Amino acid sequence: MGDNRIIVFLDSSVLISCGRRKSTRFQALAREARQRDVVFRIPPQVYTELTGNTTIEGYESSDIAVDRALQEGWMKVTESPSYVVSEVSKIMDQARRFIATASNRSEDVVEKADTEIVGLALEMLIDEAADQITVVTNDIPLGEAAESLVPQYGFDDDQITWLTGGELANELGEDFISEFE
Amino acid sequence: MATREADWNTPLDTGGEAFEILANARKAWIYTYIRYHPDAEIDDIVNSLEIPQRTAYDYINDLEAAGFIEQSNEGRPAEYAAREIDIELIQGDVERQITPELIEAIARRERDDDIDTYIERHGLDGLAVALEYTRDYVDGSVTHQIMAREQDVSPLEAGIILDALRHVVEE
Repeated sequence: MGDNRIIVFLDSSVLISCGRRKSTRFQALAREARQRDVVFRIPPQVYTELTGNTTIEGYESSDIAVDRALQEGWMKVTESPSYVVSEVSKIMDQARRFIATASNRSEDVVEKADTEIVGLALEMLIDEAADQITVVTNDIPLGEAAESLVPQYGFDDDQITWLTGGELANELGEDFISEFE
Repeated sequence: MATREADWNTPLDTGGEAFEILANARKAWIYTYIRYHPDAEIDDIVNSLEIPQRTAYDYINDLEAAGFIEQSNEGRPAEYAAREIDIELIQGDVERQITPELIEAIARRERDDDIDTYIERHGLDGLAVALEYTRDYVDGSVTHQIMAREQDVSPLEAGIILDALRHVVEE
């Protein structure tokens, strides 16, 4: 395992949960990056979702913390997935169908861009940029799509791992209203 | 199902005396606190909420009169237990349930500014809808983007409220 090159992707659902508790949860993320000796990757779609014209007055927003993480160097925004690589485009369509089925909805309600993280995971393995990929998301159907679809392209099950934010770092799953535990 | 902007004329917002617990987050807090801490005494409740003891007594009396809690001992200091409630409201083709989970979601606005903001923007009905999505989210049958599209809110706002309500349905 020591020599394995691991790439860790973070999804917007996880970063949003960190944005709600900037001080502690983002620190926990930064610590995980250090301990794992990785730079977390986020797809461009995720960055746009968090920092676009979506900030809403009244909510603790996550954009400042994301930009700080980029400046500090423990997180970076990747390129978009290469749609011209047929496997990448194909797995994103599959992921779209997978999520629609898991949520018992029509495919229209899932956009291909929602599945960038799955396309990128496969692309990194195909390009041999990594031996193992970890996808961190609290969107269960997305995580399950990554875990079940990537091995269909000739990779081992242990080359793709899905974690929730709380599984990556305990603090990300904790309730901060201790009276109701 | 769609709740884009706050509509304060829904049954959850306009309901009578019994629904005071929905409009008063501190009452919702007391009910929820007692639910998590059976046989809680007034002092425990006062300490958890940081309100004057007299106010706490008033709220507890109201909750008892409305049937949400009951005294669980005969002596003093009084101890209280929460009653499980499940009230169904139907107005036209909209059905809503008042459950302990909904009351806990409201109680949390005392501490969680994001829930408070969500209620300000979408009303209690919007909160009830978000709670339904949160159940599906925790079960793994919806993503935050799907909720955003179906409810016409930004993915950021959907993600925020799902994260805020997650612990209400996880227990």
